[in-house]
Amino acid sequence: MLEGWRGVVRDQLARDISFLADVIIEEVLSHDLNMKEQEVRPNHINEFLKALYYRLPDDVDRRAIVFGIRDVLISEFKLAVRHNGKRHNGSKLA
Amino acid sequence: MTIRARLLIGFAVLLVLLLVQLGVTYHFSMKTDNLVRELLRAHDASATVTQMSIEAQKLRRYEKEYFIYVKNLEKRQKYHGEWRGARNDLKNHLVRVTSGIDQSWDRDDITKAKRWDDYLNAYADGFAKVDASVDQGFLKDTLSANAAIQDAKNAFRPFFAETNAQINEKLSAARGMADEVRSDFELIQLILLGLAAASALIATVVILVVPNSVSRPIRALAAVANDMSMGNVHQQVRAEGAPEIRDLAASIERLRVGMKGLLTRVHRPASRNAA
Repeated sequence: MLEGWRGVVRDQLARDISFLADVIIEEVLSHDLNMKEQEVRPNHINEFLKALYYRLPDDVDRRAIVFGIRDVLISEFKLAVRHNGKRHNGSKLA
Repeated sequence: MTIRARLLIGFAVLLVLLLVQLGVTYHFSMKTDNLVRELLRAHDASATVTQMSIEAQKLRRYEKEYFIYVKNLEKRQKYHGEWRGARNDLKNHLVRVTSGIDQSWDRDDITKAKRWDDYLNAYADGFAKVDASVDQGFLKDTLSANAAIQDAKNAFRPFFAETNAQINEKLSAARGMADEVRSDFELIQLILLGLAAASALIATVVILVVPNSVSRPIRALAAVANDMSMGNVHQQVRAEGAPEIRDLAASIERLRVGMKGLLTRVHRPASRNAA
């Protein structure tokens, strides 16, 4: 599992949409992915980001935000995300 | 540029101008003080030499009266007394100068005064000898007495020329220093006026620019925040102006986006939320 991933995403997302970050993350988890926070694995990241993209408001640069979060996750969790979404090893992977 | 930087630069320039003003004022006041002291010394020295010259003229006058009345004992003694009084006055002036009591004289002046003292001594010795000869009856008329004093008069003659030259020299030096003081005063007036004008200009710029750069964007952001509080969350907040104002605008814009998203979700039908 990705320990503390939600906090990292929320902090990054809150820079653009403030308190709405938590609301949107919860929507993506519970409505789009139908998962709990603890169940998210590295191979779910691309799916999560894609759903997040559609949940973001129109007023913001959604593409830039999603790519920004992806970069932070890769950097924070040493992920190697392929274009096809398959995950690779990382030091914080459970 | 940040508001803080603008204020810092404005006040720093004003401070520099004030320090320059302080330095210029201090420099010229010290210089003027020294010049005025020197001017007063030159003036005092000139006055003393003038007084000496007057006493020397008196000596010559009493000497002439003495010789005119060389056959009249009473008048001769009267003018001899006057002559001694003038000589003593002149001697006192010279002693004050040569001994350094009079502070307005420099080393060259003292050397000159010592020479003048020698002239006076030579003349006084010659006059004393003539007076003794008159008293003893060797010299009985004005012509012979005048002839006898001739060498002493010649020895005293340079005194007049040199003291007149000294008076002119001191007055000329005093005049030069007075001109320098006046010229410095005109220069410092120009410098201080220039500095005051520059300070006023910078203060005006600071007064006109800084308050506007703070209050105008803050009023605009306050209006946006007020609209948001009334439910209008559709107007995007533009980040313009100084960096501090842009940061504040960005924060308000984040709040607006968050509020708008939240309101959208609140108003969305439950079925869509669940979808």
